[in-house]
Amino acid sequence: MQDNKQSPDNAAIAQTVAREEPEATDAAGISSAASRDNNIPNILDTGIDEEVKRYAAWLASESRHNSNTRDREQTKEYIESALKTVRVGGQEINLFAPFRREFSAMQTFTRGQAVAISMIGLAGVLGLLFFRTGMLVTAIAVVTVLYLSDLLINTLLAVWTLKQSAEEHIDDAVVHALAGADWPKYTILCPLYREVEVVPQFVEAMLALDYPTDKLQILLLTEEDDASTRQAVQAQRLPRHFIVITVPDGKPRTKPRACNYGLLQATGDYVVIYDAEDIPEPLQLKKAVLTFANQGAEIACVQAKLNFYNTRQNLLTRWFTAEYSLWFDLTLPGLQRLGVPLPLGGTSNHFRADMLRLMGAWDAFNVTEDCDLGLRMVYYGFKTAMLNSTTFEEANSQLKNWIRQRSRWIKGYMQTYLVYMRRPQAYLRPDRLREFFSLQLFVGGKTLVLLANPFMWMLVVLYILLHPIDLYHTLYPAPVLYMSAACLIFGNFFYTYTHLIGCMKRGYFSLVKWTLFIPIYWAMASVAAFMALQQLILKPHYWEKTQHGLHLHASGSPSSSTVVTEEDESMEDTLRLPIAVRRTLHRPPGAPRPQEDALVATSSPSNISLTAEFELEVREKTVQGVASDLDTESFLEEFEFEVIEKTVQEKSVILKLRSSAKHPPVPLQSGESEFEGGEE
Amino acid sequence: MTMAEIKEDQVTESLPIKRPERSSKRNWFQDPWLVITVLISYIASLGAFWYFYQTHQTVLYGDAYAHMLITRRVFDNATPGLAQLGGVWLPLPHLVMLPFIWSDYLWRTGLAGTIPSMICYLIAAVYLFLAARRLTKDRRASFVGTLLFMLNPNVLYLQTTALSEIVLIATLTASSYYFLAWAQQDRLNDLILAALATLLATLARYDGWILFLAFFISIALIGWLKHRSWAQIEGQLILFGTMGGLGIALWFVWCYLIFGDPLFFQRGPYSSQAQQRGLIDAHVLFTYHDLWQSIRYYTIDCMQNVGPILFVLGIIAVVVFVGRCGLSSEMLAGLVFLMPFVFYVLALYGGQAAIYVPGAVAFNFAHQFYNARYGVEMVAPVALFITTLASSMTPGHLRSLGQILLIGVIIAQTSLTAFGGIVSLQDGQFGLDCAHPHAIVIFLAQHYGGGRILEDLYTTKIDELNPEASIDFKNIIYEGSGHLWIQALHDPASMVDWIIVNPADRFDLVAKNLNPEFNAEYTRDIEESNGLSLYHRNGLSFPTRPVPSYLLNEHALCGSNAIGSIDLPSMAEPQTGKWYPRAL
Repeated sequence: MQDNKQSPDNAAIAQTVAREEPEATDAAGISSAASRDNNIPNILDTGIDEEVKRYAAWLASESRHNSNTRDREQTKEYIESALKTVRVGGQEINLFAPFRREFSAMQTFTRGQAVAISMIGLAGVLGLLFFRTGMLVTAIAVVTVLYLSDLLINTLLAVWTLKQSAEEHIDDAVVHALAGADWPKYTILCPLYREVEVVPQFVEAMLALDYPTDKLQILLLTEEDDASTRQAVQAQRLPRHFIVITVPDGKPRTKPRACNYGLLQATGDYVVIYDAEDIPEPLQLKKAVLTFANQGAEIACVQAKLNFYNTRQNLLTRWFTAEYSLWFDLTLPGLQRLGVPLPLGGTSNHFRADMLRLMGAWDAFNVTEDCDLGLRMVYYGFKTAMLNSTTFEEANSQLKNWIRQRSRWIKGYMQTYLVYMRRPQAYLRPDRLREFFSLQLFVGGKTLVLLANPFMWMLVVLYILLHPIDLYHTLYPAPVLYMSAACLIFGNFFYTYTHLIGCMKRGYFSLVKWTLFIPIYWAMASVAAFMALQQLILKPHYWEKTQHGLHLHASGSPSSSTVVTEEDESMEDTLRLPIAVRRTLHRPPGAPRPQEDALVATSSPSNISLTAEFELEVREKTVQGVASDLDTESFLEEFEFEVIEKTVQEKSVILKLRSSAKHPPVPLQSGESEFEGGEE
Repeated sequence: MTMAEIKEDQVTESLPIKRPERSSKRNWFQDPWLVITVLISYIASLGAFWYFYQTHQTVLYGDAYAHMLITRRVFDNATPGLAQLGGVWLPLPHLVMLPFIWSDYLWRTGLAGTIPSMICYLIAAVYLFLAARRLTKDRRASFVGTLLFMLNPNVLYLQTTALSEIVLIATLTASSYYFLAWAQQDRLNDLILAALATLLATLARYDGWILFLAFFISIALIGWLKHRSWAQIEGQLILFGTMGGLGIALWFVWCYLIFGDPLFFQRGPYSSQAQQRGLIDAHVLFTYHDLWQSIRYYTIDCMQNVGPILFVLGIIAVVVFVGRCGLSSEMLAGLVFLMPFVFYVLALYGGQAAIYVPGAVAFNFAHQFYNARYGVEMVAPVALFITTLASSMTPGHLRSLGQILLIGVIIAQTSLTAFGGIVSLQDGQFGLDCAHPHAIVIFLAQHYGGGRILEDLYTTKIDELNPEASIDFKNIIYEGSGHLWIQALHDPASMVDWIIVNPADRFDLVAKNLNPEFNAEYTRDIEESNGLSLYHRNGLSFPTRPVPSYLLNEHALCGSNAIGSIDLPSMAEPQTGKWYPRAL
């Protein structure tokens, strides 16, 4: 496989860079061809040249720093420490990371916590027995204060982010101008467990990444008992920078354990995790590196945004998308600005490898190792920055599957909360109070709210149905009543509204009306929360595996394994189209028409084969605010597609197209058997 | 390797890249014309306050008292709580007074209502300037246009009162500014802020409701003009509608929860509709179902408030603006500023509002002033459009000359209005909006030494003068006092020391429901001409104090402009037998 240096789809700069003409680069590796081309704005004129030079110099110095022998020795020490076996419950286990009991969720409750929880429970029972109403009033007041605090802090976050987002914006033009720079080594960890269906799609997404392949190491981490995924991977025509790794069997069989194993073999200065169904924006790795450059030495992690490509598959995916749009586009940048720990997203978190090792990598016992690591980073004095680059994932489209996934997340939050509350007195220092409140509100509080919601809703419903006014006057003294009413009215409105804003910011206009019903989604999350609570007690380390590839079933289009490159003979039948579009085009004849929204924004053109009739929506990113649909126009001319709808926006062009089949469909690979739940 | 080592090692190599400054945040204070606008509005506000406060004119309006009282009774009440905000007047003007009304001094002097109004005046001036600047890209012209608003005597008077018009003007100007910004630049934040300001406007006065409707329709039209997809238009409508319409929805819910009728504000006994019904039945609501009269009345009212010269200039400016912009998003967003005109014409036509103003009513009509202040809502739109006129003159030196001339016209018009009569002030001084002095209040100011008072607040109107008689509202037992009210009616001697009742008024709930045996336990102190009487409980001892002079003088002019033989109150409101002005 050749070096994938082709650039994003729509930018004129990208087209220039993709040309085969030799580019002159200066000592710092800055592309001067870009500025020579008449089709693009001269970077010297746009005022980014100084920025590009500084980046190039930083990359060069970073390269020198990363090649020193001291780092290699440290890595060696880390590996030695990580390979030590740990004795747990009479069994010897390999976690593939240094075991740090104080940060591990191996023990769910410490003795002190168990005693404290028992005491609180006992106090509650005794309170009910002796004080009855007084106890209920107190409980309602406490929950109300929690709700109100959550509401106020989230309002603050939303306002801050809307006013000026703290997330890092790296201009595409800057990245392209640095095409020849000395980029650091990068390792991508891809934990795959029974992911046969999405392997081709994932490989395709990885191939689309714009990063020098001689600096890129992609580790496909398969479990020992998962031969089918390994076979599916090996069936791909993978270039040399893809390495398939078999993670030795052992307990706990979790994603963090696999990642730890991958980290042992990582050669990159930077490390990122992508899940099997991920499609990151092609420039993301480079943008992440430049974000590290901007943010300084305290930044250990750059979190890219997550969103979905099967947004409109069904109501659940619509709500899920709205939720992610809020969380990654408003809440996390707000948290960054607030200077509190960011509960990381499950994927697309880019780490400095040395800092990750310093922190002891992932806790194999924690089922939300991402959230745990986000908090641990603050403990070590590191920070996380948000990057305005998106990785598109598959939104869970089946209720049962979604509840399982959500229950794991909530259980993980519970585990994490308990881990960091083992020594609450440690937070009672001025410099850690903010961390403490953040832990209470964003990890503990969020979980508690999910558990409390059903009871509070029940109280509202009972009031509406039975009007027990005197009882409610007793349960809700005036201050509590006003706070509760504010939370009920403005809280529910605010959370719904911020979801709307998230959708609008993302350009998911058609989701907005569905988002009005998102309180139903919250009710579902509460169901998952109770399931999580049960599992926390009974099966704390059980990993509820999320089944991926459901969107492919829905569209009748399993991910195609066909990867057409510039070396292929089928070039004459290919077009440059975004990768997500490409995937949908590979659809068997007679299969149902795909969801329009299965096709989402990407920024890299790919060469594709055209197949059957289809209807799709193409969104193209632009450079410097100028909409460009050059690729799409040539596509339309050549294949006579009918434009159903065209929307020109400030920074994008959205097209809906329809066409008849003019080319034979590409044969497809059949899907693998469905996943069965993971095990501890 | 320790944390310190890793940091030290990297700091030398990995310092954050110092990037060129991104587009620096626009600082409002970088615009000297904006600074001047703020300074002048600040000085004008304080100056007007000083004058009207010194002359005891800030609480001439009965409605001004009532607004403050509604706020005060939220906590100064035998049955305190937010439910005291009531269900006819929208709550925002009362809520903004809450931080001030706690103070007895601010409450009794009326400053609790003045301070929020003055703040709203400043906000309105700033947003008007910003809107004008956004529309014209001419900062100097924007200042000149805003000067019209800042120096308008009617605006300056109303910003010293507790009336709700200035609150609406501030929210309306802010929402229109953000809407204009959104129409021009398509930024999501502007649409959200427009929705938020609209939410406030819909909670300030019912005028805001039509503003919401106008924005809603304009969003669809602008989307259509800009060739947006339906999905995008739909998204924008929902984003705006949910926030902008939240206040309206909550008001329905509020009325349902508190009064058992979601449309209580519209069809309740204290509603504007119920009050105008009296005028309609008396055939003195001349605009009712008469579009021409509705337009004529409100136009004259606007002219009285804005000043005739400037008003005519404003009409020319609107025509020029529409002609210049054509059918565009900017034109639509600009025209939204004119919504108060549409609202009042519709309200007058539909019998939801009544306005009497000299020049509109017949010269021999008994009452020349009633709600004459409503026209003040058109001052800001006129100022905005005159700005567009002032900025559209070319070439440059002509424009400067024109703007200087305009300043001269504004100052001349201001002087003419100030010396010729400020219509909103005159309405408060001797129009139907004036708070009538009550002999009962004067008696209470002399002799009240504590104890509870039973009265029907709505029919007696005594409540509005409580501050002047130094009566804490928590001592008033009225129709909103829940179980205390029922108990007091049943057995007054066990609950109250004073009773104010009008046996001649068949709508007086005290008169209707009071235990008839109370006559044996109470002695009448005073009876006003319409039958309204004050009783004290037998055996009650009370002090005697001198009457404050302002109590005798301040409201002495009420009704003094009434001419002819028409007894409007009794004719107009047969339901209550009493005049009871309520603003929209």
